[in-house]
Amino acid sequence: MDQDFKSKFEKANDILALKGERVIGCAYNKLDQNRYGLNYDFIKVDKSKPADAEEGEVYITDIPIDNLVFVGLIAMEDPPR
Amino acid sequence: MESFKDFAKSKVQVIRNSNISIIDAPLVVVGDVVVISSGNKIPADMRIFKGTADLNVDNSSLTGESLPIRLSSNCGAKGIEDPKEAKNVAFFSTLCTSGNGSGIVFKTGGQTFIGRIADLASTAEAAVSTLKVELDQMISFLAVVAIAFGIIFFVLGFILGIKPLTCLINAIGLIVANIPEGLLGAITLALTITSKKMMKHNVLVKNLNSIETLGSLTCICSDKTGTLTQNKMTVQHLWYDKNLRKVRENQLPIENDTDNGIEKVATDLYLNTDKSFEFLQLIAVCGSAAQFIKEVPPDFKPVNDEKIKYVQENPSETDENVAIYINNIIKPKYQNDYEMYIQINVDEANTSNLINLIKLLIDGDASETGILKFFQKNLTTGIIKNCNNIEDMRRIYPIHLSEKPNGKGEKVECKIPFNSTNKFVAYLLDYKEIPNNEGSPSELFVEEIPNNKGSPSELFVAFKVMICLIFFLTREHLIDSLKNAIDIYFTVRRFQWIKILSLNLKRQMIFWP
Repeated sequence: MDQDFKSKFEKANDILALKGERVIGCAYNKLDQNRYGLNYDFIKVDKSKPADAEEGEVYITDIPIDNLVFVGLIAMEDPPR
Repeated sequence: MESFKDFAKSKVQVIRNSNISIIDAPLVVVGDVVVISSGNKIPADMRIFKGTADLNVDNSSLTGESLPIRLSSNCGAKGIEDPKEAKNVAFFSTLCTSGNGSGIVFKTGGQTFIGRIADLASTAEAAVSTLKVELDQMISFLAVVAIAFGIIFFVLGFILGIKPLTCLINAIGLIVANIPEGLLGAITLALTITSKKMMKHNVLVKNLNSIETLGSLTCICSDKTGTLTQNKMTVQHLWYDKNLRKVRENQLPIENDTDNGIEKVATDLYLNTDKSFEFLQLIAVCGSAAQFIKEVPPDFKPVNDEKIKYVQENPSETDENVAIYINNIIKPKYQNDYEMYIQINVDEANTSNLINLIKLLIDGDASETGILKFFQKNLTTGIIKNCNNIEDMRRIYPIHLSEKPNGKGEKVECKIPFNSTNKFVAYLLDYKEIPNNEGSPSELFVEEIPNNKGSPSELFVAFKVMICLIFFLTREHLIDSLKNAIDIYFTVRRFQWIKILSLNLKRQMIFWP
C-alpha cells in the first residue's frame, strides 16, 4: 500500500463522507494453510467472561484479522422520501 | 364503540394472597406480583425475579430499539448505575416477545418511566416566539404613548379653556388614532410574502408563525432514517483500483459530479473484466447475512386471490381459521411458484431494471439489503464461474464451519457479527470447488498467489480457507486495532451531514442515521 494509494483513498473517502454517504470498506485475507487448516478450531472459549449458568461457556470466534488486502469501498445513500 | 373500548382493555395475571387472579391492567398496584408470558403487554414498571432463559421484551415503544432485549433476574453490571439499563426491569407499555417470567411491580401509572415521559410531553409549554414578544412590547409602548398623549391634550385643553366635551372627544380621538389597526394586516402580509419567497427554495410553510422560528435557528436536529429518508440504502459509489466510480442506472437522477472530482464510469466498464470488482462483490455478498425471503408472503398475488375467494365462500369462518387455512394449505401450494417468481425477478433485474428487485423481500439490515440488491443487479461472473445469482456465489464460497470446543461435535459458522465496539464484520469462508462446463474452477485466487507453479486444482486445495472482512469504517477503530492491517487514516465523519435547505443561510442540518 503506497503513498499514492493512500492519498487517492483519502480523497475518495473525503468526497464520499462529505456527500453524507455510508461508506463500507472491504478487505480480505487468505489464510496460511499450514497454520490454519480446515480442522483448525476457530471457535474458542472466551476466558474473559465468566461461564453463563444456563448456556455454559461463552464462545468467541477467533478469526485472524490482520494483514488484510484492501479491496475497495462501497458507498451507500438513503434516498429521501 | 363501547365494546371496542372493552376490547382494548388488557388483562394481566397477578398473584395476590398466593392466588393467581386475572385483573384489568390498570388495576395493578405497587407490590403486585405479575406473571408475564409472550405476547403480554407489561402493565407497570416491574422488577423481574424469575424468568425463563428466553424472556425477551420489545422496548421499541419506549426507546425505539427495534431488537428484543433479554431480561433475567440478574440486574447486570450496568444496571447498578442506571436502572434504565438494568436487565431485570421490565417497563410499562413494552411488550413481552418471548418466554415467561414473574416480576414485582414498583411503579405504576404516571410514575413509570413512560408515564413520566408522557407527563413531560403533555405539560411542556409552547415557548412564546420572539416575534410575539417584540410585538407585545411595541404595542404596550404605543398604548402608553397613546394614553399619555390623550391625557396631556385633555389637560392642555382645560388649561387653554376649551369646552370639556371637546377636550374629551379630542383625547379619545388621539388615543384611537394611535391604535395600529394596520399592524395585523401588515404582519400577516409580511409573513405571507416571506413564505412565498421561501417556496422558491422548496420550503413549504404550513404555519406562518414558524417562519420567525425558522429565521432564528442555527441547527435542525431530526430523526432521519425512515422519517426523512426511506431507509432503503442504495449503493451510490464504488471505489476500487484507486478510482471512484459513480453507480449509474439508479432510481435517483444523477447529479453532475464532475466538480467533486468523481470520475464518471459507465456501468459496463466494470462488468465482466474487472477483477477488483469481483473481489469486492465476493466480499460484500458472502460477508453479509441478508438474503431473499423464500417464504411466500401473504400478499403474494395468487395467495391473496385464493384468500379472497375462500372468505367469500366461507363467510362464517373466523379470522384465525382463515389464517390457519392460508398458512397450511394455500401457501405450500404456491411455494414453488414463489421461488420461480423470485428467480424471474432476479433474472430480469440483472438485465433490465432495479424495480423488479425492489419488490422482493429481503431479510437483513438496511445496509446489507442495499448491498445485496446492488450486487445481484450487477452480478459479474467473469472469473468466478458457474454463478448466476448471489445464492450460487454463496454456495461456492460458504461460511466455514468449525467445531465448538465442548466435545459435542457441534459445528457453528465462523463469523464475527457487527457490534458497536468492533464496527466490523468478519466472515470466514470456504472455497468449494464446483466443476463447470469449461473444465476449470474459479480463477479468482490463482493470480494472487506468487510463484504460482502448480495447476489450479492443487492450488485450490491449498487455499481452501480464505477470510474476508467487511469493515464499517470509523477512525477510532482503525487507529486502535487495525492500523497495521490497513495502513490508512480514515476521515469518515461520524454523522451523516445532509444539506437540505438551500436557503443561503449558512446552516447545516444534522440527522442521526
